Amino acid sequence: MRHGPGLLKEESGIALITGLLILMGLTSIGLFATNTTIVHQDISANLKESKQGFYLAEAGIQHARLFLIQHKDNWSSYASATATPLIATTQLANLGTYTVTVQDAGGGGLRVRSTSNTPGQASVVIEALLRQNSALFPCAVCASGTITLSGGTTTDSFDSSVSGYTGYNPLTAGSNGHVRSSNGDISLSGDGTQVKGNATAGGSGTVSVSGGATVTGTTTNGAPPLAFPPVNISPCGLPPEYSTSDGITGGDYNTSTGELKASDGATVILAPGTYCFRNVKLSSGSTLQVNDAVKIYLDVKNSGEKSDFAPGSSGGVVNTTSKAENLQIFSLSSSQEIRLRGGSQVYMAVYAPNSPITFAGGSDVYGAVVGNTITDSEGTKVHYDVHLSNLGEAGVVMLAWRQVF
Amino acid sequence: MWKSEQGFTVNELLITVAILSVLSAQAYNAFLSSSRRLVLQNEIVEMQTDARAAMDFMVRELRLAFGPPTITATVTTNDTITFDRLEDAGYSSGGNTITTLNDTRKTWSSSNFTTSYTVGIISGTGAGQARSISAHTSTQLTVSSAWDTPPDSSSFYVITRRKAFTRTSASDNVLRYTAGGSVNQPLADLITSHTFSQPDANTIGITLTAQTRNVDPKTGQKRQYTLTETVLRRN
Repeated sequence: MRHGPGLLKEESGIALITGLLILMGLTSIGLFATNTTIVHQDISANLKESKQGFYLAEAGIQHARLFLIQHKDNWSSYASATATPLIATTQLANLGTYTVTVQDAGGGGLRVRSTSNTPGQASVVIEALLRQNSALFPCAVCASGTITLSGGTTTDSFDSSVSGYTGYNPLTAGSNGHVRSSNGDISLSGDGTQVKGNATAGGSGTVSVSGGATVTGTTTNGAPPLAFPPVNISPCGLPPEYSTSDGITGGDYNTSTGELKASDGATVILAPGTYCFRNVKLSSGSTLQVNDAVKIYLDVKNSGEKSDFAPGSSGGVVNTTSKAENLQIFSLSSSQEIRLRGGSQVYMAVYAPNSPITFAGGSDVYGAVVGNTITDSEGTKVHYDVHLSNLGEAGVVMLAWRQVF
Repeated sequence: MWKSEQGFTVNELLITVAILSVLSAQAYNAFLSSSRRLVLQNEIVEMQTDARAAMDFMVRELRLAFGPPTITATVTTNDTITFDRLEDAGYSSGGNTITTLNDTRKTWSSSNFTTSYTVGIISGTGAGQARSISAHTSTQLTVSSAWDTPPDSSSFYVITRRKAFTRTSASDNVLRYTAGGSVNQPLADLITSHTFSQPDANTIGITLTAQTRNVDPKTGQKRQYTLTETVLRRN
């Protein structure tokens, strides 16, 4: 009988201890789970803080950019040798603060550096290189060197953001068809040759008007030279590469030589996007067509041949959008010639400040042309789209952006 | 005292033991399933953290891509992205020789640009040339082969380093990145698929799927987690 109660006692003890052990086990699992949750919450909080810091620093860069756009006239006064405050510490509600400093970056550029601080002690530093850019297309016909227009060449202007040129006629067209050289002579001659706008020769250049040519606006000699912004090759990569054949329909494109050719009345259609070629050659009535925004970079390796957009008596450039900003052609060439021909749908903006440009065929070009020298003896009618003067990010471009921390 | 206590019969004892064993079996079950759940939860957390950390890193790096990246296939379609990460940029201060580029506004430390860095001229004199950096001081870069056209103070340059994100085989769940052509560094080890896209010229899309290390005992399948991000290239 002794064993009975003893055994009983032990049994109830086992039940209690087992119960306690199980409870302990469950509790420790619960604690572990809570711990995981806490670590996870910390990670999320850190992620949020770092994102908040990033966007605050970005806000600082944008603030500085807008500030510099508004104070463009004092641009050079911000170009100090050491970093100086540009935007004082700015609090954005309860999100944190940003501070921006500015420093000379050379080449007319400014280096702005934005530092953010969040309440959770996250700090992000972003640096951007900003540059004041003059308009790419300030005139109908612009050249670094000489401009020679004869044989009934005319210039006038319209604004594609208001209406296409068909909404105008030669009488109502605007008188902003300026002709401007940076440092070279402007020679206007022949019956019917007319500049509806100003003819301004820069540097040591002079304007000569003869043989029935007219200028409706002012004629100026020896104006200050124009600084044509250099072409930025970054859309083509570094070192620049020719485009793949993606987006190119028709014609004959060689991806290794970068040459786009079309002949015998063929039509090449370029899908919207940016293309990097060595050159474009249209011959015997072939056509280059764009239906949406296209940018073409020519001679991106500075090794090319001349580009020819003037294939005989028919064909040529067709921009079905009727907006010159949708067909922008840049040339990185240091000397290669570009030939252009007008037509009813030749809406294009050509920027090649180092290339000689020749017009052929005497039809209409809607847009603007920038070249090293510009020659037309066949009476092309250049209709300057003043909307093009707005291209270029309100005059302040961001050349480089990087997150430092 | 003992006599007043009657004790338990064998039957009573057996019933008690039976009840106790049922109870403890259930408790053990509860313990087991809780601990399995804990393991699973930890694995899910690990998977999510892995994917998010990898994604965050890729977003930060790709934002700095200079020029359009190249997207190709190594294991599956569009799973390798190669890009030039912008390290620094500026205008040369001029006075360059046929193999140097100066920028007196910089204070580069000797640990910068050690291996596989490239300097390229983006605009101004000598635009379009790219050279690898063979040595540098705090204000001067020496390039490995002579410039065709030496840059001057109108030359805007960028310093880049080639990087890539990829996986090496279909059975390899490790997302890796290479910097300057060095060996593949592991970035995250639970990635089962990832793809890159370029919806437009300045945007890069990333999709990443991670999975847990072990199967979920309930479903017999590994848990999966998919993240997508869109990055706006700044350069």
